[in-house]
Amino acid sequence: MASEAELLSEQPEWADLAPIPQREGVEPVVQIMYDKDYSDAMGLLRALMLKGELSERALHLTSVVIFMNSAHVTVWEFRRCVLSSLNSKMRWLAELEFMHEVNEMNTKNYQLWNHRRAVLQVILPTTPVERERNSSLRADTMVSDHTLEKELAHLSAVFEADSKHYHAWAHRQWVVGRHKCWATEMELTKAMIARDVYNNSAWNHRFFVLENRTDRREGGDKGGGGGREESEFTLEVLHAVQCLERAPENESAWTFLTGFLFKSPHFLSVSAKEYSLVVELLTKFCKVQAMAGGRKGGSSSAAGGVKCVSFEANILYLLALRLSGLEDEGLPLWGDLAPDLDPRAQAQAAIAKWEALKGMDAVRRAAYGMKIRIAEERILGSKSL
Amino acid sequence: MESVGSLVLRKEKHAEYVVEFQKDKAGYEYVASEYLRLSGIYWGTTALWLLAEDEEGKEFKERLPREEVVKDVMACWNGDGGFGSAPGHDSHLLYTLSAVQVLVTYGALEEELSGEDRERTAAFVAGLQSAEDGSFRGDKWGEVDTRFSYCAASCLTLLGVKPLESKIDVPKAVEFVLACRNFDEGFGARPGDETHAGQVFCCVGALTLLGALDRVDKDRLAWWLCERQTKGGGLNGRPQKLHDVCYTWWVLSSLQMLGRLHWVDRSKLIHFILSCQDEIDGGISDRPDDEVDIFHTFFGIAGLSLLGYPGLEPVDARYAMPARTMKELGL
Repeated sequence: MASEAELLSEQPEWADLAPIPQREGVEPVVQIMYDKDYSDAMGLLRALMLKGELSERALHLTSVVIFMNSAHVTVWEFRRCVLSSLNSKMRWLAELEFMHEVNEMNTKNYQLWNHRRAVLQVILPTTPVERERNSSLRADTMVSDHTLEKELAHLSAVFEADSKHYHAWAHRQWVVGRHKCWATEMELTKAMIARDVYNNSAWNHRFFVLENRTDRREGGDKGGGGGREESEFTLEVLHAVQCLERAPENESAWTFLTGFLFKSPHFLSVSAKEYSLVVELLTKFCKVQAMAGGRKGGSSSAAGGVKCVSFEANILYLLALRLSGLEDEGLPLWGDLAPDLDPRAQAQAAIAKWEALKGMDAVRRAAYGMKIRIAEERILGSKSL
Repeated sequence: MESVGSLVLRKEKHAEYVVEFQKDKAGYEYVASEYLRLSGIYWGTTALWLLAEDEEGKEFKERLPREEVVKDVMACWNGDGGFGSAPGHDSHLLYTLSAVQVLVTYGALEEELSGEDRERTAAFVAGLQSAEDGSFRGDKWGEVDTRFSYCAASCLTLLGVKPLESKIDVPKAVEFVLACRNFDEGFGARPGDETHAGQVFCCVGALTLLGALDRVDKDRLAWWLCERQTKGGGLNGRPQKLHDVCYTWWVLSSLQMLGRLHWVDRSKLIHFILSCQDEIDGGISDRPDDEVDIFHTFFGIAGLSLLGYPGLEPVDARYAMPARTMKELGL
């Protein structure tokens, strides 16, 4: 524990600065060492900020304060001001290590991730303005530049420790969007899903990449290579189905499929024929699951039964909505599908499944009841008693 | 471990926990939570309001003197009109909202902040909106997050700004929130970010207060929300994650705003929340047998209130404040 003599403000290098205390008489003094050191450092920091001093010692002081309280928003901002002023390539690159140390203390820190973005905009520029700024940094180090690969590797390491880290995934999306490294992300999400099919963050990221990737060739939705007929649309569905074969109660995969099937407007071009085939495939898959569940018994397959039936009911209903022109009217896909599918029959089939689910998934009984009433009203044009 | 026989909300214990937390200013939890102190005050005081009356018919909120609470809040007020998390901390939208919520609940807004002061606070909040995409930052330089869209809408409404258009670009604010809608009909912090129950609450709340809830597919979003309920009865925040008491609030209040509160199994959820209590020292934790904290204590109580647990003050889902307060304001 620090003794009185070790307070920062009492050390020679701070002799020229009068600390600014926080507003007087408003808060009872807290008699513990943590607060004394912190108050002291904050007092010096306030003085520096008022003076507008953006020096090396200011940088050091922000480190001290951040290690005591990494959630203090203003300090991070001041640190960035100091870094900008020092304009040193070495200092900016050193932020990587600094952030690593702060991260050791608290990984779920919003400020840390906000800072990381700001740092990357300087050391890993993508826009002309950013590149200009980067090239004007004082070249005072031989340490090699940070690269995209290194940044992605860093994030993958975070996922090793916590595969669903919300901030890290959000940051990765930001990086990927800037650098347009779509192919790596398709591989990554596939690998992460293979390791843990229940990783909702990975499924979400995959959808993000599919939706936003800019590296598709003109009319290039087709072909998995090697003369295969299946388009990207079908391949993606097949991937999800494979994952569901291993874990039929996987909410993430079912939700992904539903979103993927009904995304409107879609980022891929899909023909009515292909869509029908996919719907047929999924229907068959669900039937197989239902039969397997009946044979195996046990809680996992029962849950798989629930998610499966729920998914089926869902797509029947969503299809019915579109085929009746109640949603996404005018999209050629639904018009092309219409002759073969009867929306009323679809709706009735959905309702039958929801009735069954009231028993199978009792915790959501009321919700299923509501879905039945809504379907009856919207598509069958009737009101239940 | 489930106990047979009824679990009951230990109102007295929780009130004692809250009061102890607020009063013990040298206590570790109080000091360590300095960076969100003002929110802690909001959670604690509002929890007392919602606990309503003790066995002697006296209101729990009387256990923290009004003048002290108001003084602690006002000590965080800054020259720019915003509030910081603690005295001397720079203004931030999160704590500005917490401050206004507490002042309004205690009926102290007008006595503590003059018309001119309230203007300044409103200007602070409005100034955080991006002209480009309608999003809100937490402070001048901070990150963008739909949490802040909610904080801004709520704070300005509570300050009496009417119409909101007079201070912020409402259509753009709405568009930004909608840009954060995902393929599962839920919402994340920024466009593309994974759907998360906390963010869903903020987005549904923001859209409600901005008068744009009709832009949401209520059935589909409510479905995502009710899928948060696990077999054990508790709610999680994302698919395949652990249940946690705070999600009780984020999910339930969203469902309430969507008009589909009955889509969750009420009794199972009540049982789950009650099993997260510390029956000896008071307070509520994220899940059974974990450490309690003021955050989960508030959200557990607020969740129970929303579920109609007897003996609690009704809570307003949109504002996370006592319903009678909102009624008095005509909101």
